[in-house]
Amino acid sequence: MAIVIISSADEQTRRELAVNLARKLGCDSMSREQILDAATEAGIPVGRLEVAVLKRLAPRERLSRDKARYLAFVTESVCERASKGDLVYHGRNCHLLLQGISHVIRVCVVPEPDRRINNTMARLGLDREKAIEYIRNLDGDLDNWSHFVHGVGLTEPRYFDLVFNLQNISIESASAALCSMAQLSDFQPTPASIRAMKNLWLAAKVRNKIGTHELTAGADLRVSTQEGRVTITYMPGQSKIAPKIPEVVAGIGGVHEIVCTMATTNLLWIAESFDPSSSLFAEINDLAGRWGAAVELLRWSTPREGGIEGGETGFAVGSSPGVSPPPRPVPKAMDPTGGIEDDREEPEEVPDNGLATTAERLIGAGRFGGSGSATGQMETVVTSLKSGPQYSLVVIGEMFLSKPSSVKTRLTRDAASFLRERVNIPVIIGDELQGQFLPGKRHLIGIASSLLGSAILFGLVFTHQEQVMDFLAGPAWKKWRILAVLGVALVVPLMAYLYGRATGLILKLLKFG
Amino acid sequence: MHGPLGQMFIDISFSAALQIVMIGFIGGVLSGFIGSGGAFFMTPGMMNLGIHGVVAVASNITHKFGKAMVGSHAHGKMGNVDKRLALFMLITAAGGIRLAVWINSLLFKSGGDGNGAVKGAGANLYISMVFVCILSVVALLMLRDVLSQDGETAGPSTRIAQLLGRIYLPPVIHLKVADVKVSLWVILLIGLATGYLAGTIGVGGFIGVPAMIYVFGVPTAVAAGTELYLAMFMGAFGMLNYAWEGYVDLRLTFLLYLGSLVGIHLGTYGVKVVNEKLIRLATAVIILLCVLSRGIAIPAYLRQLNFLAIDARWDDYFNGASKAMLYASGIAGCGLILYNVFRAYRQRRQLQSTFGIPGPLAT
Repeated sequence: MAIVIISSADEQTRRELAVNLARKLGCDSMSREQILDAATEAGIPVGRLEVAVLKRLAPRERLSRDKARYLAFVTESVCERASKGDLVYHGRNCHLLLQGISHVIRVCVVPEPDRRINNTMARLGLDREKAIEYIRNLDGDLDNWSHFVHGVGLTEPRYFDLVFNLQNISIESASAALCSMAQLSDFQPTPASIRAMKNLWLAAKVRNKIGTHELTAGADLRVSTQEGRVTITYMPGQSKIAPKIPEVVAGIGGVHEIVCTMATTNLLWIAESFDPSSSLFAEINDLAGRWGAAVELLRWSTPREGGIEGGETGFAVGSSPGVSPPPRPVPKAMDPTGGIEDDREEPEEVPDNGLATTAERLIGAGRFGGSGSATGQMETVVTSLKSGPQYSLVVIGEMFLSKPSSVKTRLTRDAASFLRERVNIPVIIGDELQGQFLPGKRHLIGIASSLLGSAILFGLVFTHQEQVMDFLAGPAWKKWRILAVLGVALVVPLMAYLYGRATGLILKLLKFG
Repeated sequence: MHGPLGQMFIDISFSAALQIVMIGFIGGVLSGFIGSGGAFFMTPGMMNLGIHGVVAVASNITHKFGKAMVGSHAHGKMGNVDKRLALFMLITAAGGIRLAVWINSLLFKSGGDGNGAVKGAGANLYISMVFVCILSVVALLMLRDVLSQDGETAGPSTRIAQLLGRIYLPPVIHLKVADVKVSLWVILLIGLATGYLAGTIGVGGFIGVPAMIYVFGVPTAVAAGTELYLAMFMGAFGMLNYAWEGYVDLRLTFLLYLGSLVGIHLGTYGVKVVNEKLIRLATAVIILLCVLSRGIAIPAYLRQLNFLAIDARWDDYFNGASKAMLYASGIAGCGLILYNVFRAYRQRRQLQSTFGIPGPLAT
């Protein structure tokens, strides 16, 4: 079951390649234009959405809602067709769809400039200069659209598996190469990738149904799914809609369980590794409970690290499917059996570092707000945060696991600072969560004891000034010089520690930290 | 204070105590914000209250020891301390401090000119001159660096570090936490200069931190953390030396703590909410104003040493102008930082108050 996604700004070029490839693979091809027509028929104002995004006409909330519906519709359509067998899908920035599915081949096709200009001239009846200008404007608009819908630029190379420059290769040859590539073991479905795709499909179906049903249309909901368990998170303003959600979603095939959670806000927990039994999980869960927040998980990994496969996928209003797809599993070594497919073992699943189990626990607690993966630099996360919903707090958990402890701590701090400087959201490191947001009795005892200790020292020095200075610099000092030096060496750090601790804890309580 | 003690240490009235606490607070805010010790404000501030320069430096370096101990522990937890770098710098920094203490003590005891001039005037002049010369250069370089860079995210220049990287001067040390390689000789030289300045004017960090950033190519956070770690040992060494000579006024140290340990938290918070370019610009301007303030006091010391023939009544004017300038620069800098701190604090509280509804509700 090969899924090949071809992205190109020139419709004619990508169509030719897609049709050619589909013929070779013996499957159907599907185009963005077909889906657009269907989406428009289904009541999604795609054209209006495009214009509103590019000209910034509509309010952000409205655009986000339409965007979520549009993405859900496209994803559902592609997943549905792909479930029936091989599929070649082509569009303008469709390589950013179906993120996290490893058996998808994402191809960028760079059209021949002259051919593209000629196509444009013929199609729109323009002279050459105007056609060139039109293409330049179109490319700019496409990039803006890509940023709005997916949170990344159109030409970001890491989102592609292959780039064909048609100045150097013919469509026929590109098609033959893709046909061979589709047979590679790296792009064969695995149990995990099939599961991830089912999650994605189900989430899209649910989101689409909610968006089109009269009882729930227009609601700002977050939908996430995992193995048939659907978690729908809604804001308090939509609590009247909540009882209707199970009724709307119940008829959808594949839904085994529905959990509706009201969130007053969202917390984002970013980490390389999650542990539902950790104290950080308990603290975040506690904080989410106090704030009435949904917790969204973002597994971040460096490009060098092995990727994850699947996990469940969220569709959020204005959310962030723009985070980069998880990296593919490392290809297995060449098979000594001569490549007989039946004799191959199923590729091992790459561990997800606790993402799925943590998500399950949050679902159980009714506080799950979705999950995703990001790979690469922190800019990816920034893009995602900027294009996604407004989080109330970002918690940085376990990161840079491969680094030594001190470097790990420093890099985590740097990452937090990096995010703080770029997004207008409070960002906190997991270790600080307890002290910052969940102060307890221990803090108060610490403050009281430190203040008392420093007050005693202070009182002793200032009620015995003559004696103290005599001991440090007067006649007594001449007699007991070593003792005077030792006295200073002991008292000064003690005072600094006690008073510094007290002020630090008080200011933390006041949220200066 | 009576007798010989009265000649060396001041009586601390309630008003003087308040001023010292305020000096500590402003120094702490600036210190937390800038990442250096804050002595550039505190030492002259205390001298303006009539405290002898050597006592001000001794009490301040003692205060710095305790503060650095607490601060370096926090930085250590953040992974910002390169202990190997600090260790190598410490080798020569200790020598630098000893040299500084010896010169300061000599000048203080002799009055400076060896002919019975006003006690402490020689040391005061020497400390002020070093202060003005070194910090002028540091502030102007910092100002030039900030103004020559475009964009808010411009980082410190790495030209010197790159140049030194091309000059192979073995043995070369690999600093693991900072992840840079530097010649041991360069480290030792910088250590000596840092120690000497820490011992002389109590602001070794102004040489140590920029040197680590610009000369070694160490990340800013690691430079600040390592400097604090180094300052802990240098402060300890300086404190032991000055305490041995009997110049430490524990009362001043305690009063400085009252203000500085509150201020340092607010200053550190300020770093998180103010962009880096503004931080460095504010730092350079504040230092320059402090330098100007100390420069204004120099004629009074010159007169006391009979190098300048002016009326003794002018001392009060010079001292007053110096004090006013210092407070103006400190309060302005501190005000700028606190304004940003409280603005960010208020914004965050407003943000949180919008979702502070207790209890989850699941259906």
